[in-house]
Amino acid sequence: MRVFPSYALVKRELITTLRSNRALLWLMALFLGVTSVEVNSWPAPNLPLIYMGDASQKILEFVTWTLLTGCVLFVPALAAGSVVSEREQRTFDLLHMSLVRPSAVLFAKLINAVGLYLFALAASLPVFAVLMSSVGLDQLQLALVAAQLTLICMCCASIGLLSSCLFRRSFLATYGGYAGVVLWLILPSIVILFPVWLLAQGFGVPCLRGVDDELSIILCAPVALAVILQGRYYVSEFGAICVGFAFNAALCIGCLYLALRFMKRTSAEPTRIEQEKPIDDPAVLLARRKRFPYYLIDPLRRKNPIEDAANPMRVRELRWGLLNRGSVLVRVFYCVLPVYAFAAIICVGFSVHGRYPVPNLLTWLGFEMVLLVSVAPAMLANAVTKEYELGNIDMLRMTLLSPKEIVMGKAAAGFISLAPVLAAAFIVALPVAIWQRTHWVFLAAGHGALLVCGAVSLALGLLASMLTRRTVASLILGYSMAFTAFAGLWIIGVTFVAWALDAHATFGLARMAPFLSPIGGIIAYGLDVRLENRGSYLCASLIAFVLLAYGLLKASVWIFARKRMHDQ
Amino acid sequence: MAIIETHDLTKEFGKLTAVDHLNLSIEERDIFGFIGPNGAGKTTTLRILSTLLRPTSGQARVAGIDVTKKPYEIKKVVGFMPDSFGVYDGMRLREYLDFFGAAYKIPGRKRKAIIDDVLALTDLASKADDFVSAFSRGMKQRCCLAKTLLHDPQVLLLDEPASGLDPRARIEVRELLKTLRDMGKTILISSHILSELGDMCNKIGIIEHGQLLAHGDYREILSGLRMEREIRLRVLEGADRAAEILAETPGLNNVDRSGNEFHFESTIVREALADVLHRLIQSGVKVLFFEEEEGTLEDVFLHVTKGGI
Ligand SMILES: Nc1ncnc2c1ncn2[C@@H]1O[C@H](COP(=O)(O)OP(=O)(O)OP(=O)(O)O)[C@@H](O)[C@H]1O
Ligand SMILES: [Mg+2]
Repeated sequence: MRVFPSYALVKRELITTLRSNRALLWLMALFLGVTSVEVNSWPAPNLPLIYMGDASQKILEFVTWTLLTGCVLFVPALAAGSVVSEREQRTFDLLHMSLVRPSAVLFAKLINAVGLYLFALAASLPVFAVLMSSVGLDQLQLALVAAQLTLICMCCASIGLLSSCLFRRSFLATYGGYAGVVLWLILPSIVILFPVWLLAQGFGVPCLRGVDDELSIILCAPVALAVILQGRYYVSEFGAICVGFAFNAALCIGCLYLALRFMKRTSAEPTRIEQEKPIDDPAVLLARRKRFPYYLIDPLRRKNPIEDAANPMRVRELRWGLLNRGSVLVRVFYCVLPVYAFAAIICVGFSVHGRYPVPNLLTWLGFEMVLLVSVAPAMLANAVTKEYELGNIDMLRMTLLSPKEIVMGKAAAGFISLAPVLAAAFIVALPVAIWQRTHWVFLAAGHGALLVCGAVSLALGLLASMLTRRTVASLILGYSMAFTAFAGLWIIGVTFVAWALDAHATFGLARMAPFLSPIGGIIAYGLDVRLENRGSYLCASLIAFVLLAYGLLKASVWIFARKRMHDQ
Repeated sequence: MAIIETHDLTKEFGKLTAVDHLNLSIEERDIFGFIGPNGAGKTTTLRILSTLLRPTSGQARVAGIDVTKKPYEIKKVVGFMPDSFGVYDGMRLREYLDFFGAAYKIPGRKRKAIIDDVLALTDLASKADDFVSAFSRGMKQRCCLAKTLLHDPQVLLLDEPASGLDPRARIEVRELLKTLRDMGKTILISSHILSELGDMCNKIGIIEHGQLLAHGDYREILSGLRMEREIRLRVLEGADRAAEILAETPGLNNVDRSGNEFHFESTIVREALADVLHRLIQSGVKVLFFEEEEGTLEDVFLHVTKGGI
């Protein structure tokens, strides 16, 4: 493949990216963060060597995990937005008609997606080098960390690109990119590791002992990274790391190859829309009823006109919106129900933590929350950006709908779209609560926290949509804000408390820091049994987050009214 | 009374002045043709008038309402059809119009009848149950026009409504606009297709680089702008004699003879021109036609604008 003549494309993509203010900001933020950590954990000058080694090890770990988080958060979205946005802006056909080969286009997009990240990685290498000069790290470890991070970044980018070539809407492509990365990270564990683990531990198959460790290194790139970071690997683990490297490299190339195939294919044929007339005849509808059992709705049934009292925006989003075309809500419910039930049976029924009910319930609740938090921001993150991308924003602004009606209509539709997921959680919770009767308060609190999590993530997605013009940017922003709200504040709280005050005085405060996040709050509420008034703390935390969600909605309306009702 | 009025309306995009101290005034029931080369500032002006864009300075009023102060009131009286727009996926035409009808706060009992009316007006009745996103460009255009008419706006701001329409549909749009004018609406229409604006508009405004170059009654602009008239003369007999007379009259230039037909430009006043005809007849030339050739909007456009974006 002749890919290098695409220099012009690379230049267009990468150089403009690197030149942008945003890139500078990112690099500055990374630089400041790393520097502050380094300064903070700088070993005292007269410290024995062995402690200095520890300190540098810590810095390396911190920087690595930061880079990994950054990679998983940004690279898939950047890659996923690339081809599909060209397609949406109708520049794809121009590119396609030009003499540039598809492979070269793909290569340029890949470079664009990973360029900034690899640049940041290379820029932080000197930090590592400093660490190396103080003791504690060896060159092999450093090289392996850099290589593994590069590989993970490439994998994220190629999965994103595959999704970008597969889908026609940037919303779907971005979401597909993230979903692909999550699958890549956890699917091997579920499909291969879990059975192996069951066989080895549960049934005591002797030859499988230890195999699961090596398999997890091979199949799960972050595990390999963790092993490398520990620095205490033996020959077999080193082998596993190498095999894992090859495995992921192969996966990456496979994704790129598929992306290329899809890019060529889908540019040829536009999607076809069936012009089937709606059906008015009740007899025909009744005859078709068998094809849509279990409350699924016949797509050809004529929809009622919008009622006078209803907010037209809400009705539109619910009846015709992306995720919610009639039966989809019902289908989501049917899909989520068994998943939650399965999780409940595994976590609570099989008692993954032995016979301690609260950790078991927490694991299950945590699973529910993570699932919810990972879908909820996306529900509304494209609320307004979609209108821009489809070119409908002007017509919407010209109607007599007030900014409040538009934003609240979309928000209401988002909340209703979450209903199936929440309903499934509550339905599964009911038998669990009856069975674990003594813990019903904890379960109720947990599901309250679940509701709050949903509300906050939706509101954050909506706000992100107000602040950006493109769905890809909005999704990235929405997820970053959700991450900050659910984990960031908590971590910052703990770190700040530990840093600002000395350990003895702050023991109590440090134990309250988890309440800065609804997820942390419910964990602390469940596990930190000796903390007095933890119920009130949880209540206060949940109320604060409900208020936050409300405030975010208000802010969204305000921003929409000020910035989006007209151009400047 | 002027229904659309702008006073020193200015819009700057950074260094570029897209609309430059524009003073427009459009009377009620006018069909005002807004013409100008690409990038002249037509779309920008229309977007300001429909509250979608904030002017940098100056005022604009529609039906006596200031566009920056009371955008909500403006939206009630204005129907704006953008030059490019998208459609919602998965909506049928009737559902699409129903949504916008509801968004324009038309009560449910009246909505169905209104939708039927606009569908009939835009000749889309047979497509009412089709998906809008699968429409061709021209059909989308009509669908957008139908949407614009839903709330019965007093003023229509149409940004290149005829682009993408086939010739027949164009004629239909023209008739439709005349009907709408007779219904008492004022229409501001921007277009490149000058021949089409010509026999539809009673007023035109020509804009270039954000400045209004000419503005007023269509016929007046046509005749007022051209210094020289183009005359066509056709005779039955005595062509040679006619050629002599034309040649010896001062102020008649570029006489072009082909057989019995003459074309020439005249810079003399109308009375002198009438004298020329008198002399021709007196000297025995049998005149079949002696007429001033109608200028076209294209001539005016080319004459007034300088070209270059
Ligand atoms: N959002 C914007 N930002 C910057 N410049 C703009 C913007 N919108 C328009 N312009 C500039 O303002 C000028 C006028 O644009 P406008 O769209 O009003 O022209 P137009 O007369 O409608 O042209 P056309 O006939 O091609 O539609 C152009 O030079 C254009 O580049
Ligand atoms: Mg325009």
